[in-house]
Amino acid sequence: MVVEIRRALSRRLVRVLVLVALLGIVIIAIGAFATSDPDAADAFSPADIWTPELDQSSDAAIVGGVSFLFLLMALLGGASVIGAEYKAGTITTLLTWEPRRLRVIGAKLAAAAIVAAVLFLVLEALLAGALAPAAVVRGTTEGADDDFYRSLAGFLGRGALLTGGCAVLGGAIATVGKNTTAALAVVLGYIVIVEQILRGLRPGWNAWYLGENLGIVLTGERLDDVVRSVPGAAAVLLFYLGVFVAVTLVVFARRDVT
Amino acid sequence: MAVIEVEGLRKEYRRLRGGPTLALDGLDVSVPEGGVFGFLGPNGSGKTTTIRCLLGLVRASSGRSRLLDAGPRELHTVIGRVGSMVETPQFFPNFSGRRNLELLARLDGIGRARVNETLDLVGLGSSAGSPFRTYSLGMKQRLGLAAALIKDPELLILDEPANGLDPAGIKEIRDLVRRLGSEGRTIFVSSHLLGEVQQMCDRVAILARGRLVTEGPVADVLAGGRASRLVVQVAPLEAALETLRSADLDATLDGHHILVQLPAEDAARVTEVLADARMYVSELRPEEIDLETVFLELTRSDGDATG
Repeated sequence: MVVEIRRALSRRLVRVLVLVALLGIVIIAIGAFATSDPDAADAFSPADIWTPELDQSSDAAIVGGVSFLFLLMALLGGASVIGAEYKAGTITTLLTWEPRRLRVIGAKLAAAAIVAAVLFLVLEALLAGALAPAAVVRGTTEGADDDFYRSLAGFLGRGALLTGGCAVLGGAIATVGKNTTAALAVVLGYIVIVEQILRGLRPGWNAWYLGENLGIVLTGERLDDVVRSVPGAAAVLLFYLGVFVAVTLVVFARRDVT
Repeated sequence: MAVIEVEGLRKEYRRLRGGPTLALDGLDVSVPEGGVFGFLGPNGSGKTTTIRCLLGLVRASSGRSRLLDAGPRELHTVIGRVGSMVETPQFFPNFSGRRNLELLARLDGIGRARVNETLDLVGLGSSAGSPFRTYSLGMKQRLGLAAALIKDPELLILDEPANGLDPAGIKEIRDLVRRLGSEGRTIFVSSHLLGEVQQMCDRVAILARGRLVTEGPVADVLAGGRASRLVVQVAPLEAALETLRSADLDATLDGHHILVQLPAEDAARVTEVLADARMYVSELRPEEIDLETVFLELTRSDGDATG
């Protein structure tokens, strides 16, 4: 497992994604600092940022968007961790050292999940740190009470779990498709076909779309137009992930490595 | 005890297009403990598929394979005693050779000192810090060999280890393999460099079209199925040929010399016959058969028989 975590952290794509995230954090922090007016009613406040409802304020929407971006990055990073093994052909070398395939793929998916979840927490912490000057100097810390911190802890916990799950999903698709590009194609295909076209044709199915369920779990709040509780949405996501992982394990265990 | 046992191994690759491909067609091979065992066959004869089956990389369609007495499902119990290199070894291109090896070594709890020792052993010590993507084919082979050797295995499975190496590198590998074989390990080496195999191996198995054609000690395989012949250099050639034939010897013209079907211990019969006819030999020696000749004869005849 430790070896797999080291391998994951050594991936160039993972490092590039972290750099992109850091750059985004800096831009958001500068933007918040520059646009906040301490005397205005909507002065910048951390309580506005990490509130559950994504549509409560424009600041919160930014953080919600950033978190979704982290989920996509985790998916890509997870896909890369396994896709790179196939691309480089190192999966053959690895299996001649550890022939128990379920262990191999399990360790890889778990490493991807751990790395993604920890990076999510670190990046959210950096985002909070980067926004602190805007709140302290040009905004307000009003509203940052115990409830806020409880809500924030819940958001971070759910976000870390979702990010880890997305990394596992990315890794699972890359395992079946044998490369990172296959995972990207599947995700893009899903977004276009299901989240865009099918949603337009069958809006009543929205309780089953990934987007809605991810949104519910990430915010910890019911969405107005979706009949799904937070545990219900989590169960749906877990079911989808379970199916993908089960298929991946079967395919990987039975596949000829040539 | 046999360290590798293969019985009736059959492997059919299913393809989306063009129908299934038969890679192994009931292969039987038994590799005894100790020494260097050569695994020969033309391209597509099933050498690499056999190795992949043994290492659990591909699933046999039918038949049985055992490595150190462990079947494919129990492979993890013996894999720590097996070092292997399958085709051109693949590693992470952006990591150095050393880092690639360290990552693998950690799986077995092998320390950095052993990594460096193995890199030196295969002659990669000075370039181990360079990214793998910058390595030549020969350097990649050496790193693959290092990965196979680092566990200090009792069974070493090498698929074309000399591939891409220059003559000096080939000799180094040959010497290394021979040394490892003489230490009591078993080395199972597939190769198409027949001269190398002849110099390096104690026993060989020859494959054609997924089946075993012959197997045994190198000397037996070289001699197998062929009567001994003597090479005779004499002038005039045509007259000498007639003389030998008239003495009931089985002689044939082969370029600038005559081949006589006789064992080496009966060479005096040739000199006697020719000397009686006042013809004197300038060269008389047993014909040397190399593995290449035997290999080509065996694989060709198998192809003729099955094709």
